[in-house]
Amino acid sequence: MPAIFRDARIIRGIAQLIFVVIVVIVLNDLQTRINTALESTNQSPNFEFLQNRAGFDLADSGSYSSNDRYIDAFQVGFINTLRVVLLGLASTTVIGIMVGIFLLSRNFLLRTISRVYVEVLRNTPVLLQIFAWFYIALFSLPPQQESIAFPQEGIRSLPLLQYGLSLLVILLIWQYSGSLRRPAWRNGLRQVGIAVVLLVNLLGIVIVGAGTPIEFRPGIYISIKGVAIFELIPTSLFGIWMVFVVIGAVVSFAMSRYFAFITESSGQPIPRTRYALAAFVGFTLLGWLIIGMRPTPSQIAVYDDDRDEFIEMEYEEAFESALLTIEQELEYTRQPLIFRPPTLDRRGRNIETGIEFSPSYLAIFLGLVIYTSAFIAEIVRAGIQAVPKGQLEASRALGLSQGDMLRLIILPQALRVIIPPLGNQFLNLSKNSSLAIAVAYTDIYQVTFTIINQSGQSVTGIVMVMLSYLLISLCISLVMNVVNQRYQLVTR
Amino acid sequence: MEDGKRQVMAGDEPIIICRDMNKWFGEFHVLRNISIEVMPQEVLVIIGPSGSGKSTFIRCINRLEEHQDGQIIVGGIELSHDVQNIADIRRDTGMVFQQFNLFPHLTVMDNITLAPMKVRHWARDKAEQRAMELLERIEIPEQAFKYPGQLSGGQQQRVAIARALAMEPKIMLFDEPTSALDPEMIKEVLDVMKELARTGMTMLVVTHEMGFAREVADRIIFMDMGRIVEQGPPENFFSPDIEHHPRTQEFLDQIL
Repeated sequence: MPAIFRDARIIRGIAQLIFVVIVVIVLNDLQTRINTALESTNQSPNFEFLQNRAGFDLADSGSYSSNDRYIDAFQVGFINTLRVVLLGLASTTVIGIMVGIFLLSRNFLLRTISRVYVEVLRNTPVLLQIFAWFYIALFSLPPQQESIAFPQEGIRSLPLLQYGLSLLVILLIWQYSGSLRRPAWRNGLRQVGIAVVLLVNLLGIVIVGAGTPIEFRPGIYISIKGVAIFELIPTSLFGIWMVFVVIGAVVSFAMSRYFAFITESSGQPIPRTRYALAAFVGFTLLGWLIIGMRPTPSQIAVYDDDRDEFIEMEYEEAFESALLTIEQELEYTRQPLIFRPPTLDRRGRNIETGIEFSPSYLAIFLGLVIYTSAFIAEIVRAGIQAVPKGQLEASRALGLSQGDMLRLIILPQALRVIIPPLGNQFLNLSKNSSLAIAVAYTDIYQVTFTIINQSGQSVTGIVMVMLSYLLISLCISLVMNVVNQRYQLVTR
Repeated sequence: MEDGKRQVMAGDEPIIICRDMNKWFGEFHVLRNISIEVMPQEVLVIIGPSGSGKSTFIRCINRLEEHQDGQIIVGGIELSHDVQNIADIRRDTGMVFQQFNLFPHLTVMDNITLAPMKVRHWARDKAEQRAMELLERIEIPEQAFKYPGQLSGGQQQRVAIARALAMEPKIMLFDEPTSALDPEMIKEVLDVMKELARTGMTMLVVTHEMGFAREVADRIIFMDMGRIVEQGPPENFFSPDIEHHPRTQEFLDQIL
C-alpha cells in the first residue's frame, strides 16, 4: 500500500475534485454578476418579451411583417438558416464527391483543373469568397427587366413524346446489348442502335416535317435581384397521380427485393436496380397518361376584362387565351402538376409567382457550398487513396468486375475513412452560415442581434441562438454517428 | 469454344506457356526473355534474391502486371489487352499474397463466398457450403463468422488460400505466402500448401522456404536480374555434387 499522497488513484480523484470546484465557483460568480448588472437596468433575462411586437422588417421573410412578434422574427431567422444549411449540405456533398473523384482522374486536364479549384478555394478565407459571390451578383448581372432567361424565350423543340420514344428505344437497346458478352458486339450494337434512332428522327424531320413544335417558356430568371425559378403547383388531380407514384414505388421496391432473392438463391445475376427504376418510371408515366384522359368541361365561365363580365367559353379556347383563373386551372386541368414560370407583379418590381432566391441568399449559399466542397474533395480523395493497393489486387486476382470492386471493396473501406472528417465539414458549414450577416442575409444570427438591439434581452437572445446552432449540430452529429457505426471495422 | 464459357484446360498440353517475355518498369528491365512451360499438376517453386523479378513474373500470369513483349498463354488463352481474355484467365487462376489482402470489412465467410457469387454466379447456399468445406480443410470452421482482424496471421493466410480455392481455380499463384508470418505460423500455412500440392493443383510458388521447395517442388527455378538462371528438379538443384551456375552456387552458399 503506497502512502495516500502517492497513490495514483487518489491523486487523480483529488485533481478532478479541485477542477470541478473551480468551475462551479467561476460559473456561480459569473451568473451573480450578470444578474446584478441586468437587474440594475431592469432587464432580467426572460422569455415573455418574445410575444411583443417586433417592429422591424426583414428581407427573405415570406409572410412576416413588422407587426408580427419577436418570436415570429426569430422563426424567420431559424428557417432561413435551415434553408442555407440543408440545401448547402446536399449540394456541397455532391460537388465535393465529384471533385474528389476528379482529383484522382487519369485525365490530366480534369485532374489539374480540380487541383487548382481545391487549392484556390481552400486557401482563401470563406468570408472573402462570400463577398466575392455577392459582388459578382451585384455588379455583373443585368437589372430585373432584362433578366437572363433559361431556357431563352423563343426556343422551340420537337414534341416531347418523340424525344421520349427515342430515348426509350435507346435504353432498350442498351439494356439488351448489356447481356452480350463480347465487348465488340456490345459496343457495336449500341453505336449502330443510337445511329439508327438518330437517323430515323432526322429523316422524320426532313420527310414528315418537324410536327408541332413546342415552345419552351423560360423557367429560370437570373438578375441583379437574384434568381427566380418556376413553381410546380399540385392540382386537383395530384392526389390520384400520387396513388400511381406510390404504387410504382411499392412495386419497384418489391421487384428489387424479389430479384435480390432470386440472385441469392440461384446465383443468376439480374440488373435489379434498372428493372426497379423502370417499374417506378413506368407507373409514374402511366398515371400521368391515365389522368390526362379525364374530359374537361366543354363550357366554362371566365371573366372578360374588356366587357367586365363573366362569359361562357370553350375550355380549350379559354386556356389558350389565358383567361382561366389559377383556381379554375387547378380544378379543371388534366395534369397533376401545373408549371408556373416566375412572373413580376404589375409594377414590375417584385416576384408574384415562382420561387425567389435573393442575392444575399445566393452569396452565402454559394460561398459556403463552394468553399466546403474543396475540403470535402480532399477528404474523398484521401479516403479512396487510403484503401490499400493490395485490396485492389486481391479483387482483380479474384476476377471481380470494376463495378463490383468499386461498390463492394473500395467504397465500404473508403467511407470508413471519409465519414468522420466529412461530419466535421458538415458542422463547419452549418456554423459558418452565421457569416450570412456579412451580406445582410436574415439568418438566425442576424435576426437575433436585431432583436437584442431592440429589446435589450442579450442573455436570452444569445442563449436562443446558441441552442439553435446546438440543435442543428447535434442533429448532424447524430446522423453522422449512425452512418459511421455502420462502416466501423471489427478488429480484435 | 463458347465465348465467355471458356475454361482454362487441364490436359497434357502445358497449362502456362511464356515465350520471350520482357517487362520494363520505366528504364528498369525487370524480366528478360523469360521462356517457360508449366504442365498441369506441376508444382513450380521460384527462388532467387530480392529484386530478381520472381514476384513480377508470377504477377504477370494473372495480369496484375502487364508484360510488354513476348507471349503468355494460360490454358490456351493468350493474355493481351482483351479484357474478356483477362477475365477468363483470372477466373481460373487463384492468387495468394504476402500481405494476405483479405477484405477487412467482410467476415471470413463473406470473403470466401464473394467472388464465387459475383463472378461465377453461384447461389449463396452453394457458395456457403463450399466455403464451409474449405474452412474445414484449413481447419478453422469455427472462425467462419469472425472478421479478418480477429484472426492470427497464419489463420488469415489460410483463409486467403481458401478464398482463392473457392473459385475452383486450375492454377494457384503464391507470392511469398509465408514471408509476413511469425515462424510458428509458417508451418500451418505450408501444411495447407503441401496438402494442396498432393491433390494435384498446378502451383507456382515464390518463396524463401527451402525446406518446402525441396519437399514439394517438381521443379525449381532460380532467377536473378530478371533472368531464369537455372532450373531443375529439387534433387539436382540442392545437390552439392552437381555443377551449378556460379550465381546459383553463390546463392545456395548463402542460404544453406
